[in-house]
Amino acid sequence: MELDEAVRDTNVQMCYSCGKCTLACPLTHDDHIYSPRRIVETILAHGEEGISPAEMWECLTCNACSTYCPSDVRFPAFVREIRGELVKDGSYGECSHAGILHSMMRLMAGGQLEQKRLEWLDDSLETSPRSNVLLFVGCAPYYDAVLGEHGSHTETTKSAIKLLNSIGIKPRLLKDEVCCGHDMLWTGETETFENLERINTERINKSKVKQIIFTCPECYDTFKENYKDLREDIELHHLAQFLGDRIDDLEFKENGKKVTFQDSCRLGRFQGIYEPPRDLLLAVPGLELVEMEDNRKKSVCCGTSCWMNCDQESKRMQVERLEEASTIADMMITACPKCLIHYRCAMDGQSKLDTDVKDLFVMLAESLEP
Amino acid sequence: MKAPFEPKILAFCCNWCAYSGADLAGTSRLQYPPNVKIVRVMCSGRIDPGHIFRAFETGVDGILVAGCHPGECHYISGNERAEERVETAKAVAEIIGIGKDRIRLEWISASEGLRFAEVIEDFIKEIRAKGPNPVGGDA
Ligand code: SF4
Ligand code: SF4
Ligand code: FES
Repeated sequence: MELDEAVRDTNVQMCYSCGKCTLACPLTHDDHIYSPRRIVETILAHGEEGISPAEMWECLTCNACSTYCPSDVRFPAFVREIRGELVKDGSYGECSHAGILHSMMRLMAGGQLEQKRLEWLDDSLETSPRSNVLLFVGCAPYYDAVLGEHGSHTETTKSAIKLLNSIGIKPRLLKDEVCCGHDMLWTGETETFENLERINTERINKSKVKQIIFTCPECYDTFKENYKDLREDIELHHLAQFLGDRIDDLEFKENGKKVTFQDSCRLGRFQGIYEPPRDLLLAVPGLELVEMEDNRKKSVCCGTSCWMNCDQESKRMQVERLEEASTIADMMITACPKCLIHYRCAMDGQSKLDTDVKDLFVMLAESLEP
Repeated sequence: MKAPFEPKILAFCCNWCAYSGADLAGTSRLQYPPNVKIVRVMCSGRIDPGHIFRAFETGVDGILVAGCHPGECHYISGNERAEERVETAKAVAEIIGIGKDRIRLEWISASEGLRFAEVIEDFIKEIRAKGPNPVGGDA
């Protein structure tokens, strides 16, 4: 195993055992300890022998630890690299949904399938095959099919198109786009990730696209940080940021709701986009924005990542977060499809959670002046 | 010369009805094509869309989920669950480009050995017309 390389790449050797990471980790609480500090120390002391695969798969890669690390140890990136090695030895995380989402990613990575991924488009949405602004759809249609009402992510994509249309942009959509590969990358299936990256890169590079807009923070982060061969003149934007820069062009009608915003790991701690979603919400007249105690870089992960290891810890994190949101607001808003799915799932059958979870762009599109 | 296309079929059969039906087809010496591999599960409700797509990944050309007739599931409502899940799997198969017709749900009782053989034969005919799973692979 290339352990030394992983250690060097991610600065793990710089750990000086302060323990801030363990305090920041959302998996650590009264009855359960997940200690990146101890994991790092053990591996530094014992090399490969010190690696516990179960612990490597348990991490949510939420980046809370690294945000507080005074020595710039990049623990999630370290976990990602080690997972790549574990997969080579046949060790995998515990898939949720019997692995269907991972299967879909692998199937798309083969590149032979002709998908029908844009069937949800309707006449009210203006798109243009020649536009140089591409809206990356990602796995939205699959989430809808697999996760039913918890999914409804094409609702987000439709809302994104409505919002873009309202400022005079008719985006292009690619009918042969494939999954961005985020989950394959972070679950150590590096080869599958590289195939997905290659297919998207080839298909996008040969178009005349100049800008790519993402509704999903994971797609955005992956393109930005891990796509190596994208044409250099292409700009990448998360829709919150893109609209945040054009706030004066948007016209919203009155909405008297009291909402709170859930920062997702990829949009927040990974990409540092905290204010644009809030600015957009505050642009809706009458809307009141209140903050949960842990917000912005202190935000808490939604409890599950990469469709893997959904367990009682995940549920605990989700229910705690929803309880907090429900005591201060009518609705929790998020700009991440997975946060949305996970919180909606946690709310099922929990009548005491008197709140609602909604996607940022759905909320904004509903508030557009007709 | 290229060998003619022989569809590879995977059949998930519930222990109490469909699998017994398949067994009866065997003990009655009914002829049905050898292209099918049977996986016995306790109930058709055990099958998740994830299992179906894992099989497609390996290059299987068609998947049959077979359980007890409505009202006869030994776990009361497992087959109703199977119906919902197969619907989900078909929806995903359409979007991803594998095609919903490569997935079939059938109710076969323990006494329907002949029906089992007929279902398999008919399904193979349909898949043969459709051609191989575009994913390839040697299942
Ligand atoms: S916060 Fe950084 S330096 Fe401190 S124990 Fe964790 S990894 Fe080591
Ligand atoms: S990435 Fe998140 S879950 Fe993983 S160790 Fe760091 S804080 Fe804990
Ligand atoms: S036991 Fe046969 S379908 Fe449930």
